Amino acid sequence: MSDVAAAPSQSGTVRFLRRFRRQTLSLWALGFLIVLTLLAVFAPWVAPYDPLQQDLDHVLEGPSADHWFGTDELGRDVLSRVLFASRVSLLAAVQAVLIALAIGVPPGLVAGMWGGWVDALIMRATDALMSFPPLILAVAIIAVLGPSLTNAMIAVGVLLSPTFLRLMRATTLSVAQETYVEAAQSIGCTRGWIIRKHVLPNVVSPLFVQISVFAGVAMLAEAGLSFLGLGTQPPESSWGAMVGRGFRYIAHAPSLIVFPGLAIAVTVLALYVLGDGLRDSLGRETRQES
Amino acid sequence: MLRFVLQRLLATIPLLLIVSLLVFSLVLLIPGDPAFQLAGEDATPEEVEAIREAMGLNDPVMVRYVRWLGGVVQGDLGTSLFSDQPVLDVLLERLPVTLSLAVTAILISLAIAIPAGIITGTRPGSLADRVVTVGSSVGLAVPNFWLGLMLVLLLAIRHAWFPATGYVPISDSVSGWWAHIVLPAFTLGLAAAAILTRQLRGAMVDVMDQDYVRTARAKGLPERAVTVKHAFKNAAIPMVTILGVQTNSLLGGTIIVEQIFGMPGIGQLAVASVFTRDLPMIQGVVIMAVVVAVLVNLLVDVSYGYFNPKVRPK
Amino acid sequence: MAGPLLDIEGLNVDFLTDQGWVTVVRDVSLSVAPGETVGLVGESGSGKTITSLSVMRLVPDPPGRITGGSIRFDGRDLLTLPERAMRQVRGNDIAMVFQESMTSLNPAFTIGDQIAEAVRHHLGLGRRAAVDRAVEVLDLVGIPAPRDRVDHYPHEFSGGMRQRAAIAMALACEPRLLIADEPTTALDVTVQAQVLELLRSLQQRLGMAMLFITHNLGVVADVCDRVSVMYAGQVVEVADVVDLFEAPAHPYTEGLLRSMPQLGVRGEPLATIPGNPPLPWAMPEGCRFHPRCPYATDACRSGAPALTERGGGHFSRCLRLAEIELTGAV
Repeated sequence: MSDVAAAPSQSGTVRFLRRFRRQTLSLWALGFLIVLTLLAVFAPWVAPYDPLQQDLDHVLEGPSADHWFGTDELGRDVLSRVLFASRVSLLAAVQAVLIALAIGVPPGLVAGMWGGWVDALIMRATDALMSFPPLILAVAIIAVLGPSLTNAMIAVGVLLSPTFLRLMRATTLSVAQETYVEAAQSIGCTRGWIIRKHVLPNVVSPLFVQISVFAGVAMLAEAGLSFLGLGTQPPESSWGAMVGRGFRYIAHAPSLIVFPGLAIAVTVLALYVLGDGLRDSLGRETRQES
Repeated sequence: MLRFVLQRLLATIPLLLIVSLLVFSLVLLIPGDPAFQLAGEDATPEEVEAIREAMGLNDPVMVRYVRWLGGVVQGDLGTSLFSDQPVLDVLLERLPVTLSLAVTAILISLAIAIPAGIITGTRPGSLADRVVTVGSSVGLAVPNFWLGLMLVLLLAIRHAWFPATGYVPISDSVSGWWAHIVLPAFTLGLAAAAILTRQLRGAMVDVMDQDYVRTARAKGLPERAVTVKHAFKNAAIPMVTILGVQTNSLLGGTIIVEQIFGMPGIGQLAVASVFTRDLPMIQGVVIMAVVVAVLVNLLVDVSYGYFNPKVRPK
Repeated sequence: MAGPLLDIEGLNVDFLTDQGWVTVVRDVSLSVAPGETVGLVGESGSGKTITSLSVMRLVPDPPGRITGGSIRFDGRDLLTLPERAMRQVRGNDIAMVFQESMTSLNPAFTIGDQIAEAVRHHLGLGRRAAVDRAVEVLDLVGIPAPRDRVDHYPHEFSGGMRQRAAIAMALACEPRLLIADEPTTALDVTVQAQVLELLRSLQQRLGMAMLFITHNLGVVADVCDRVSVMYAGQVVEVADVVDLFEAPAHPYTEGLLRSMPQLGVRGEPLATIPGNPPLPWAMPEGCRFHPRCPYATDACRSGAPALTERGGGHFSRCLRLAEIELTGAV
């Protein structure tokens, strides 16, 4: 039985990879994200300066041969700081998406599998959550938990979770109505078994599309919150926090906000393009409108 | 029509109840004892106990919730811990700033998205289409605070074409209001413009294939009337749905944009209240935001009737 | 007899498909005299709708393109008119009624709006006068209480009423030629008869010419004076309607007549034409009908027949025109 079930999904993966290989733009985006991740991991070796090393003789300087991205108000090298900040920004996005998955996926499965009043209750709560203007809800959560990067990412994770929940519920519902699943249920297979064998394999690909797009959304949200001072706290720094600090020197040293801002924009664009490419590579039957 | 609006409002009551429960529970989640904080570090246990009793903190949670909700319904959102003013008064004072920012941003996003969506949707694959498609992807990826800062840098600092910060009420000076609102509203509206353009483009491509577009052409109408009148009114139906969602996230975006442009609105208040731990104020901001969001969605529902006669209430 | 109102000569239309450019309408000629009703008959895909859209210059481009021939209306070649002048012809001199009244009316505007729009555009009437005109034509096509109905939306009309409204919309500017593209196909049988009767009486009362496109020969017998039969992008037979039914000159027409349920002999199975019409990118050599023709010989497989007159204005595109005896319907 499991062999029969595995065979089509195997060929589906092959078909998916073949389609994805033709998405030139998405391949570039993926390449960029891989390089970026490597740069973040190896920042201590790649960065030209120590990101904390001050040089008060050279503060708020524009780009030069010594400092490609210029220096900040304490004479620290902006390029090195952008490289080190990428660690925080990337990790924060990953953290928010993981939190969103943890909050959204289990109730989505439950709602789709059990249905009835459990489903109604979960969906009501989701509607209520989605009726909040997103950033305002995030600020409220941070107000309660206190400003910190982790708390900010918890807030962002809560905001993103309803979409994962709905995706899981929709997939679970459609799979649960398949004849072979009803048959499996009638011969006494447990719900857990059905979820493992039939629901999860079906939901993985649309989930990956959503994860890619939401990593971009989370990165924008983290940047926004850190810009406001509600996310990353000093001495740690993310791209958004760098823009927030550079705000004060906008008239004297625009490079302080130009480069970290560009880093956010290009990274988010890459995540979106990757998400588009993944969606276009999925079969029509599993494609999700976002 | 009035009955339709009333029905819709009634239908939102369960939703508002759940929302109120969530907002109320913010207080329960907060670490530490509010009475202890209010009393100050030198307070004796008896003093703290007295404050606790006066604040009603010793009552069961349900009693406190009902009491709080009763106040909210009557417009009593509590008192600011920071300024001792009634929360509602502070919010109402700042509401016009945020509303005029949000409304202008929506209008700007529509002013961009409608022509861009119609042009690209009627000429898929053309140069204009590709340029706009790339532009909308970039518009989605650029963080709005960064865009705002770049606009300030270029248009307010390098060229002093616009004031960098501040706000002038429209009742004081229309031109002053406009000069202060353009950059923030554009900053706030760009992401919505990108999403709406994509949405409208797709809808226009579908609609242009419909038989009634051919009928309109067979009547001898100029192509402009065919696309702008006949096709657009149908393509606008899905766009209105997205507009509702976008308005919601745009309201959240006012927090950042007001901060950048130094506008004394609700968003700026929200950030300040986080740092002063002014929880009643935060709760008030959230309630106000949800009420505005619910009203906007009601407006969206009502405007469906204009675009789609099939759902028009009799 | 005066010159024809509409005179199509040697019309060619190409479409870009997955298989490259293919010709879907080849060397089609057709004429309609003032006040005359001409039927254009063929299966779906025979090119009859593309021919009629060519007259309006509404062939979707891309993927379609008119690549040759002329379409003269009242002496002017429509294919060389500037777009602006063509728009003056559309809806004003030549109007069109489409098959699907459900989808050919715009769901977002009232019936009155959609009629008044053409009137205002072509006749320059004011808003109120245009609405009055809309009421008038709705009354003309037999819609009860037109003063009220003018403010209704298409979804508030029944199928038959919608098609009546579509006809009213086409007639609003008193066109000299009405092109009706399968106007009754999507309707219930009883409603079909009413709409046909309406079109026939309107055509006589208003003295306009009509090009009536259908796949149903029974309908042709009811309303048309002359008939052109199309097969695989070509006209294969042109005749007076009585001639066509009594003495068809093309095997394809004979097959169509035999497969009409109205004419079948009770107790015998209904005849059908074997096989399917060819795809535009796989046209057979020689006569395009030969693979399905019971009279085909080797000559039919190689030689492409021309449209030849049998006499009395009766044309057929058949190599064996003089050799075979075909049975009519009467």
